[in-house]
Amino acid sequence: MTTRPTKLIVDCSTGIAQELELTDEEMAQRELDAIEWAERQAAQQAADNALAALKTSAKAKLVAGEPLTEEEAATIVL
Amino acid sequence: MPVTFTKIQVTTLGSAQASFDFQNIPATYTDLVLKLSVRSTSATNWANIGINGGSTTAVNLKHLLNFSGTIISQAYDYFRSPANGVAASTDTFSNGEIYLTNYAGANNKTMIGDGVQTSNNAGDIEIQLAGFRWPFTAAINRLTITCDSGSNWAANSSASLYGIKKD
Repeated sequence: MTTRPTKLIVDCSTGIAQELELTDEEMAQRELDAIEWAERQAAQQAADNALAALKTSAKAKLVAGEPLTEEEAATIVL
Repeated sequence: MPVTFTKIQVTTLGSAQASFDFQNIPATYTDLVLKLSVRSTSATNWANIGINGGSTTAVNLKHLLNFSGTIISQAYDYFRSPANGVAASTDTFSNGEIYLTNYAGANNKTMIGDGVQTSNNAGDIEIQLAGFRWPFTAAINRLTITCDSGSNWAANSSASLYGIKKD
């Protein structure tokens, strides 16, 4: 039997804290959060990789004296 | 103008938990201060904060973010503070503070937050300075802090709530 994650509830009017298992709704939200987080991470990684590739290409063209594309120039011009 | 800074609750986790959930926050103060020192048990970037049991995206956010050396200015809908994940140095915890102004008043609520992920990696320090607006008029009486990746907060993570009272 799998144990559900728990949450810490603190009643600020009494100071009483208790650990309770997550509800079905909270479990569903948690799974959704994990999926969305993974999608955001993948999108960020793809953007980082694309930027790194542009910088590498821009550097190589600068060294070779070749013209840069606008995207490449944007990676090195403030 | 006397000002008091009163501890409402200070909570440090003895074991991993999915969330901190401060309920029945008294309306007797002028402002609230939430301080977070957290670390996730898996990868993560943020501690998301829900107000009154609502969505963590029901807040307008404008922030400046140092993301691995790049300064970013963004506006979107999230109420959050930086959090350490497992990629951060062992046993390190983020630190963040959010000041909630007139949290029990009848207007929309505005908050300011600052925070930083902590790391030994000089190239990967993420810092946030943010302004938030919760577009509702109800008094804030509950704050729920969850991990944006749907994982748990590690043992020794802590969340502290203070009340500011201006006489």
